[in-house]
Amino acid sequence: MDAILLSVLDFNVLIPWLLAMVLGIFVGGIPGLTATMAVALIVPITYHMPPIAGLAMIIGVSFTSIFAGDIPATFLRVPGTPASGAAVLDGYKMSQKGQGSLAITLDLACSSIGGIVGMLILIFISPLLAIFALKFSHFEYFWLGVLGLSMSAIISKGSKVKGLISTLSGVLLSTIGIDIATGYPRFSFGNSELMSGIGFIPVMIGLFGISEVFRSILTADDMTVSTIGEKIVVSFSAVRKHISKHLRLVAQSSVIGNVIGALPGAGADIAAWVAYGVAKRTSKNPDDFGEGSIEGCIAPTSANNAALGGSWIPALVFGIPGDTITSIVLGAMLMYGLKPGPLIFEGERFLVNQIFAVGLLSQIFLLIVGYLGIRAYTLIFKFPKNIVYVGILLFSIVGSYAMRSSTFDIGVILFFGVLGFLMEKVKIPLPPMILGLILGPMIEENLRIGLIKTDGSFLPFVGRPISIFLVTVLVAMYFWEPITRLVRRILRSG
Amino acid sequence: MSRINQEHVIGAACVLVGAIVLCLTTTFPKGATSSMQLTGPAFFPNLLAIILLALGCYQIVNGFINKGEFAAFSGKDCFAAMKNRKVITIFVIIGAFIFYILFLKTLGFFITSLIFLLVLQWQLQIVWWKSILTAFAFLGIIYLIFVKIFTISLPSGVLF
Repeated sequence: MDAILLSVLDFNVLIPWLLAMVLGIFVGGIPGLTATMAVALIVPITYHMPPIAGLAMIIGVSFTSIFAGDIPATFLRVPGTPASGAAVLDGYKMSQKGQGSLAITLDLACSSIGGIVGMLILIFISPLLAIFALKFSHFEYFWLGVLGLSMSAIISKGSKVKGLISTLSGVLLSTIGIDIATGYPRFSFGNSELMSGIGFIPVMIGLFGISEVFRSILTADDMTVSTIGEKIVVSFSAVRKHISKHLRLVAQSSVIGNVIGALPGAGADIAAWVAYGVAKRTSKNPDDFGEGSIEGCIAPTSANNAALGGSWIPALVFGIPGDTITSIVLGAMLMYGLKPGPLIFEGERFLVNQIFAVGLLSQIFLLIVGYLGIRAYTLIFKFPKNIVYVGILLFSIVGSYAMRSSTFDIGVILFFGVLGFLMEKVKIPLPPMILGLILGPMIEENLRIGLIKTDGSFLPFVGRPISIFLVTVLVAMYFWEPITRLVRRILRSG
Repeated sequence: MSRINQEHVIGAACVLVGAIVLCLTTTFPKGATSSMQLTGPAFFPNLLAIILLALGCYQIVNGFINKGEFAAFSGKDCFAAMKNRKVITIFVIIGAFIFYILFLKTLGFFITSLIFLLVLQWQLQIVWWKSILTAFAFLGIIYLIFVKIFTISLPSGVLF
């Protein structure tokens, strides 16, 4: 144990590791720059380093960038990374109520706890979880997608029909581009950018960020005042009581995040939305969600960092990437001469233990680096609204352009900025559209491949054990409340 | 007084989108086998379009049934709002975006971004010296992060 700790705390490992974590804070906080981009940037630098130094940099940068995405999400309603999409819902409302300090400190503390839970699950039950994850076929993935999509009904406020319209519009948007099964370009009108589909990062920046700039300009009385009115104080003692009160929720969201993260193709973004939906469903105060609820702040942020630990499970155990970050990690491991898979636990046991130690220690470093990151960003947010808004607009433009060097994506953020603004005016919720766009390809692909495999029969979709379990959860989510109400009424009258 | 309310507009938009999708998918290729027919490229968008059409019809009917709950659209109010300075700022931002899209490749990142920033800051009533200072600060930070650290190539334009 001592040898492992000493080896990872060696200066040759520690310094690049901490520098990567600082880089992660800046990458995560800038819309359009993702954790995946930061990891891809780091890998070539690590070529001549010892494998554990390179892996520590990758682990460190991914954890900090996922957390840092919550900073602009909380203060500006601009998610820094896709995994912070769900964090805008209650974090931003809390910030508007002058509780931004509490929201961001909760984000930081729960990210760290979520990360620890995720790493502990990775250490202790990764082989079991990996076997479970590998049992997922097209049928189960279809139901998982539908389960995720049904969260939109839970997270939507107001009219459920409007929530459904928003969800379906998102799913419909996801059908634009080359059809995976047949290669046919759908709704692309010969445009090469449309053939590649609509990326959800520009859509998210437009729907949340640009529309919020429009709304703020229209409603602000004075544009020369500071963007955040309160003094941001990161106080862990202030959040301790909230975390102790909602410990079950932190654990529940972390486990949900980890399990979803372990499923290949389902990443931290989906994990955060699902954890948010389940938290609302299981909360005693579901009406507070979306209005600045502490539970709504805790759930997504615990889940998205826990999902990172989960994504390492199939990567380490079977050599199958859980998400885009671990697909780069697998490439990096091969570059270092390592072969991920079951044999790595035998042949490279010391390195595997080093990875686990780095993953756990990163959560402690996250508290320090995250604290410094919050201080740095809040200095920027202290600037007057008119300067910050102009900055948001330019960073959003350049961030969207940088995704694929295309001015088309700048048009996408403008279009969705205007659309998001109008949708909010007529009380159509925005989050379900993002959820539909993220989950649409997963649902369509698995539904169609499943139907092709069964020659058009839907029966096998509901005939496998995990499918039955997922369908039961889906049904229970919708009927649990009316059934319990009915049972209570019968018991009372009886 | 206008009888059209927001529910009608949302419903009409859904019906329109659903109908357009159904029309466009008629040109999509059909599969050779029966299972491929069912799961061809038109299958999923058609399924979504039909549900969207149904929801759109529901919204329209709901708009008529509960018309008292929703404010009616007024052309006069919309026209009056257009003259508000804050609304004009939104249109300036939209115009600045369109300018950026059209001229980024020709003028390059620096000139296009500088014009974009100066116009928006002028519209948001930032004093000229602050405006110039912050514009160069933003450009410097973006250049450092995107070009120097992430080696992302931003257009230099035809002038350089």
